[in-house]
Amino acid sequence: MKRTTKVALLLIVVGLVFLASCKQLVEEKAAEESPEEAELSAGLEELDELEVLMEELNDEIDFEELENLDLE
Amino acid sequence: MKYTNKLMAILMLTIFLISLAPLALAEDSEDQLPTKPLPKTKELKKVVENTKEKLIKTREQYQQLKERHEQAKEKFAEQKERIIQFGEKIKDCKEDTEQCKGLKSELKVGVKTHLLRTADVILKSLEKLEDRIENSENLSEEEKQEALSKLAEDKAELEAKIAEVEALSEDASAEELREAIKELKDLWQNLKQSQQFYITQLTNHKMENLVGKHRDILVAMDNRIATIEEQGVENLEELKAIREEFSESVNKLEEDFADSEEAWKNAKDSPSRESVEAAHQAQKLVREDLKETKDLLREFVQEFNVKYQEIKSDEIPAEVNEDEENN
Repeated sequence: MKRTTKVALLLIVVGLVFLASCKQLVEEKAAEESPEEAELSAGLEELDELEVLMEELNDEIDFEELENLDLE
Repeated sequence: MKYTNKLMAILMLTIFLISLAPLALAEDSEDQLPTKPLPKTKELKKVVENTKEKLIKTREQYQQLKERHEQAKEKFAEQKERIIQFGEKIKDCKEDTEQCKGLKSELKVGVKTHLLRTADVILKSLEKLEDRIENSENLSEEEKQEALSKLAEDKAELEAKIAEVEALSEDASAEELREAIKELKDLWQNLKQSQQFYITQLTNHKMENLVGKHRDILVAMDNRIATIEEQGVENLEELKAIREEFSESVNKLEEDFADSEEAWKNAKDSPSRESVEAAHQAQKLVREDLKETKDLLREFVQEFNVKYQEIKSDEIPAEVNEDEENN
């Protein structure tokens, strides 16, 4: 194989690697969270925490077992 | 220099330069979107950064409170199981044998322990809410002080009840135990109602804050579309359709929030279990709307970023910069 062919092949490989990394970069950028999204996410997270607090109040304690015990 | 050496040197330099290109593209995410359509991006980023820093600090503290609450709940559940088992064994006691007497005596001690564990779960739940209120950025100082002072009263009342239960002797009568159960249950009902009230208040304020940002987001969306349209990007139908859907969702969000705010005002003016529950139910709808707008915003940003990359790959940012300079 001629030297120029080898060089050309090498350049093609480098070019392909470059294109692949560019594609990945574009995808990563497209998936990035914008500041507005981050703010809404943080707000929703806070609302979820509050909802958990509310649910816990309704679920976790009942006195039924204690009231129905025969303590005599 | 020989021809091969020159060629190798050029080749190495080319590979080096090409490998730097993705890095250069990745650099400076500020530059990802043009400044013109996003007048508030930097400001928003600053707010988000500050919020994140504060969140990290408060999250650690809240995490500890959550763990303590979880531990209290586990102990409560274990004791509840023991009490149920004791109850079952005692049901089989048909005669007053020594074994039955022993079981009944153990049951009384178990009831006392269970009351203490129940009170502990209530206390840990109060501490979690106290932390939420202290770190709330949406309540006014006056509202915070009012809520914290009421919670401090509730806590003091609960601690007094814990002291009373602790003071019960091991051979407390059935009547004394029943009285202690009733008193703790009544106290729990009151504390639960006041906690529900403050959680609804916190939720309302947080929602008000989030809902208020949506009109600005719509303006930012319009600006982004206008900018890439100016730059000659075509096929923006998908992006515009997401923007329209977002706009409709914002209208629904605002309507639902108006209803929930009305329900909250009603609960605030005449607090009762029913009025607070009605406000809470109305808030659930707003929360669902917010999830929808957040998903749509995500879709929009993803689609926009793909379109924006088209400008970058066509080297149009130079024109954006020129445009900015002209402005």
